[in-house]
Amino acid sequence: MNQTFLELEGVSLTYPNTTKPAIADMNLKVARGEFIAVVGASGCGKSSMMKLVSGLFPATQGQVRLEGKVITKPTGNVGMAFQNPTLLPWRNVLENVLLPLEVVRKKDFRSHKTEFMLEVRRLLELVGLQDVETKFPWQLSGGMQQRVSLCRALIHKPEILLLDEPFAALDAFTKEELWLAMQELWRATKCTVVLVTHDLREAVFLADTIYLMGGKPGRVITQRNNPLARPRVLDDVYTSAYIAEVQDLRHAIGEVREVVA
Amino acid sequence: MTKAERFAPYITVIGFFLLWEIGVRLFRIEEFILPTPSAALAKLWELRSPIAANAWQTVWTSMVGFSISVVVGVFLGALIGYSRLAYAALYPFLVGFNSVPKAALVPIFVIWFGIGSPPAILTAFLISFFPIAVNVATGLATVEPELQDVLRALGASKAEVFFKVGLPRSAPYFFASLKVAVTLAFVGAVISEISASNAGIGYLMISASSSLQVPLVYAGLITIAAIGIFFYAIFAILETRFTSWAYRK
Repeated sequence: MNQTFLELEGVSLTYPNTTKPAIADMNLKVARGEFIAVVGASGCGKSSMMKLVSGLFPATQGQVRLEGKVITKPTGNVGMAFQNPTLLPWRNVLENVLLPLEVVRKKDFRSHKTEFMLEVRRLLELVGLQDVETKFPWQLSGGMQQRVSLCRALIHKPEILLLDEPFAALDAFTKEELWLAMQELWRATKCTVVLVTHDLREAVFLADTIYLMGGKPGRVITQRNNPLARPRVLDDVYTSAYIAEVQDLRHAIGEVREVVA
Repeated sequence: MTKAERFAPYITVIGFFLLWEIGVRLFRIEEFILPTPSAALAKLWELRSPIAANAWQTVWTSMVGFSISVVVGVFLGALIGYSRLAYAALYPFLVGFNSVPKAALVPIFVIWFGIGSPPAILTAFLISFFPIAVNVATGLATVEPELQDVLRALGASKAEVFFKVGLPRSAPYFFASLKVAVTLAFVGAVISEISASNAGIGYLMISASSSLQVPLVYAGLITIAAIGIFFYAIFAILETRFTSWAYRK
């Protein structure tokens, strides 16, 4: 792997008005363009890690660094998507995807609007959405809303994409379709992705490196490099190599849970 | 909307007046107890110009009071919707204040301002700002935290989050409260006119009642109801115009 792009070094996070840290002494190194997955049981500090990387919360101890620069506040260089698509119901699809640009590029938003709209269309096409621009969120299925949400997370060309269980609320078929769409987006944008999930199959399908978090407070227990070749297709899910990878992860999580309990 | 749905409100109103008319005639009720609606409407037509002048007085005082309550209500709502400290500090006080019958405050306003328009404006304001403040606060407080995170992670300021998300998000709550508040403002003005004024529909009714011109009292009531419906309709139209997304039409 090439040089470190995103780094967490000895990071702890204690939320205001609480005493117990949510994350303690966490270490993580991500290369530019790498796709990592962070897996672990609920409440192990996965979402807190997202807040640190996005700069929404500064680290209580240690440092979060992006290209060597310490992050303590939002930079505008991240895109986020959540389990809930969180689209604005009063805006149509096009206006929803444009939203981050209105903030990040507020000075020249008007003069570049046509160009931005072309970019929105390009992203929507990448995730397999056509002719939905003027539709409102409630007119779309859950899977389509989530695709729009991914486009919104990427429209301002962030260098880091943070995904907090973005496919957790979708049915199994839609979920697999979205995995492919996500892979496609990642290949097209070359951005660094941090995916938080508790679906081990999803982690193995999408990520280069899988981090296992656990404990209270949360920290990285172990890290595994995913040997599966890219691009991955849905049939891979049934190969013995893939299944073995998922099972190894499952055992590792089992061990962690026993230790913690 | 089916044909039946479209005509239903008119049929209800006409039916109500018909029952009233028939009831009064059938049971031979004296006019000074309950006049027929036709007598009230005839009186309304006969005295249309003084009634219109008094109605105008009520309309303008309630509109001034209502305008103040929109400004104050939005400001208070934004304050208690955004700041938990302001919520903790102000909410119990506002609830207590709202529970005080506004009619009981009119004599105090008369001591301060004398009789006339100021007590009516003030009563209209005090009776109508609370629903606006509560609804705006609710709209702001129910903005999804993830949505704020998306914007704040982009480096958006608090003001940007407010204008892009908080404000449009609370718009349906705001417009719903305007419909309630505008009729309340009207009630407030009339209450004040009844006990302390020399103009307005409330004053007209109380003076008609003291001289036993009962059909005129009812003519006043009908006027008030009609104006109330008119203002409610205006704000209902504004509501669907600005927040149609919330009703998925």
